[in-house]
Amino acid sequence: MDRRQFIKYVESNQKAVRRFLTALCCGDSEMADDLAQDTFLKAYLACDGFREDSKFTTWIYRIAYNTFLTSRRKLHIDAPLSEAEAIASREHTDGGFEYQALYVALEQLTESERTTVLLHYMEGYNLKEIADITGASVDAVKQRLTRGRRHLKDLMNDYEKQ
Amino acid sequence: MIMKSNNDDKLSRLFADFDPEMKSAELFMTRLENRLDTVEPVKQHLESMHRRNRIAVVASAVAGFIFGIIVAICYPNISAVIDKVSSHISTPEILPYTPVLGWVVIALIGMALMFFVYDTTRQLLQGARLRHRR
Repeated sequence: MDRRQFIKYVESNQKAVRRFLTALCCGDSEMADDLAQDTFLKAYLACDGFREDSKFTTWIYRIAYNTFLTSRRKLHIDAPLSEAEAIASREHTDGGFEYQALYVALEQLTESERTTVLLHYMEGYNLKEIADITGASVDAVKQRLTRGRRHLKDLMNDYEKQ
Repeated sequence: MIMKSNNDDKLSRLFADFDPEMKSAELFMTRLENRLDTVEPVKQHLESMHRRNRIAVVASAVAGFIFGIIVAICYPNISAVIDKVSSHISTPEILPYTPVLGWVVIALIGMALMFFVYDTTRQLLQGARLRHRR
């Protein structure tokens, strides 16, 4: 894949990837954009190894997910934040409060639950595709989706009641 | 089941409508293109390294194949040499294993040859690349 082809792929996928990373970062659009930049950079360096028979989007999301995990490991955060911490960290979220309830709820999920829910409901991937992207088994993805969906639903309902 | 389906629809609608505020696509692409320009030399270096490695692997495989052909052609002679060497070994414990040991030595010579060809090819290509740059 040459650079022109790569840029073409990026232009058609960048909005979806940035949107996904923004939700994964619970509204921190600056961090999401930094991660998206790193994702596409890594993809460019590795694009010679990209097999045309596999989907470009699945490959990109796999890189994006791994890039997100690496950044989290560096921050040593691997557990859901408490609500107080979540409120305190919201200074970097996007300007509007439109998605505040969603971001607060997403912050309460574990990273794996959050990723699974977003890949399924936002990006429309099925269990097998999510398993390919995250490197987990289909059964693990199924469990994470069930748990994540239940947690998200409960958290959104609690937030709405407040 | 219906409740689960309703919840699913609710979540699907929630995320389908999700459209967060993001910086402009043009700014994002401009920043990305600048970063790609910075890593371009790295990418070219990696590509050239992979190409050299591929050529070296092919050269090593060809050398191994030729060595295998030569060993196959010279099989009767090599067997005779191994038998001759065995006849000079006095240790009764090693004697039954001498033919096997003989072929193991030949295999090791073959491996060493393949590694030598691989390494030499890589170094020659590396040298050619540096001379070309000057």
